[in-house]
Amino acid sequence: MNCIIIDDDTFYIEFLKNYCKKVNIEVKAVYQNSVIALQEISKLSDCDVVFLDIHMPDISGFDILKNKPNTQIVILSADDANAIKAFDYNVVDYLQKPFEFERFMRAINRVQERIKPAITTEQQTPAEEKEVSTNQNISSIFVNVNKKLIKLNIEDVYAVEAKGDYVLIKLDDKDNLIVHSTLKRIKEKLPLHIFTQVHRSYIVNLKKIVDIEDSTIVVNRDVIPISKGNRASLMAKLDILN
Amino acid sequence: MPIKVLFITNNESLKSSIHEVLKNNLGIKYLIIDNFELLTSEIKDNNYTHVISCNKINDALLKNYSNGITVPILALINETETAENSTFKTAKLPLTYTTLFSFLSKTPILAYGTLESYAMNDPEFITQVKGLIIEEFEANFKEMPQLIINKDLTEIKSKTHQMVSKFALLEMNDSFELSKEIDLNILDEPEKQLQNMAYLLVDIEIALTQLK
Repeated sequence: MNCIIIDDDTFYIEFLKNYCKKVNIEVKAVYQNSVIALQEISKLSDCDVVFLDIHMPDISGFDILKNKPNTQIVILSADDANAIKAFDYNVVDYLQKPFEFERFMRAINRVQERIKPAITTEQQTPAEEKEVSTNQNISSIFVNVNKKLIKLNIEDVYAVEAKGDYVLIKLDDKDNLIVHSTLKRIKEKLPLHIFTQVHRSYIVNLKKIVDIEDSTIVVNRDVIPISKGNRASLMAKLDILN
Repeated sequence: MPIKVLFITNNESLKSSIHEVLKNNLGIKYLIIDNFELLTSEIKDNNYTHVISCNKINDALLKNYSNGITVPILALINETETAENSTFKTAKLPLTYTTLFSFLSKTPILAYGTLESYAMNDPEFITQVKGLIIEEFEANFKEMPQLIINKDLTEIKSKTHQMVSKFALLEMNDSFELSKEIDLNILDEPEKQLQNMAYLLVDIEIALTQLK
């Protein structure tokens, strides 16, 4: 793991360097001047986490946050007055100075939790793309229902739900099918430019989505949960007019 | 809590020398009373933190007037006098700023428990962070008087803001609260907070003596 420190206070730069050293976190860069940090904002994405002080002369930590650095951010501040505002920028944690090593480690653990899903998504992306290219022209598949292979028109499927050792394939204007399979195996067969996983138990047909809220999605007339980890990839696949 | 010194003397020349010594330090509040009769009420009612007596003093006299008061007491004595006491400190006249400050800085205003714990009881780390605090306090102690004269509120706010957490680390609770007040309010009520800054500078000066 590595980090960048942006703080005009030498004391906390040294403090953080010491804490980082104790847990083998590499300090890739230190910016004592927030103006330079903002000028070089693209470099921030090269690290796992940025420790960002809020109160700095000329350019505050919020000015840097407004420019959406593409990395995890842990805020440093001598007071808690800006905590709520900071979390609006989706920061990982807010360390009030002075902070103990244990508190620092809690922040690091939170960063690691956030990084994990990102790595998983990145690792999955090439495989998903490969699947898209393999499956994108498929219009039907055969599924085994009561020892009988039944042809399933892909366009008729609006959602697939995991049910233990089975999956429930939900169909437009037809009876749903229960198939002895897993969501993962079904997903491998479906064209991923039409279908996407929105939750560990649900795959949905993008063409059948009626509306989307924060944590749920309506597909046909079913309300289906969306997990936080899958929300971004769902939104990326939709054509959204901003 | 700002340093407040209660002087006791009925000697007009000594009163003048006290005013002279303190004329350039706006961070030390003081009052001169003629005798011991008002000692207890002044300390209790006005929160004096130190007493300096230029009048003759002894344990019996103090016992009569101090009435359970525990603030540090300094007796200033003539060159020819000898100290005969057990409950107060003594120094030779004349009063100088060095004598005064040496007395004020003997009362501990900081502790290292929090700093040591935050530095994980690592001696090297502790020395390093102590050194950084000393550096910062020394720079501020040197630069702040001119910033106060220039009423450079933004710069004072910025430097005070950085010191808040250092006061917390050094368990300087009164200075911590005072610095927070200055940081939060100096732009809205500059006169009051510039005076508070003068008080805080005395804390910094004492802290520097104790840190070194």
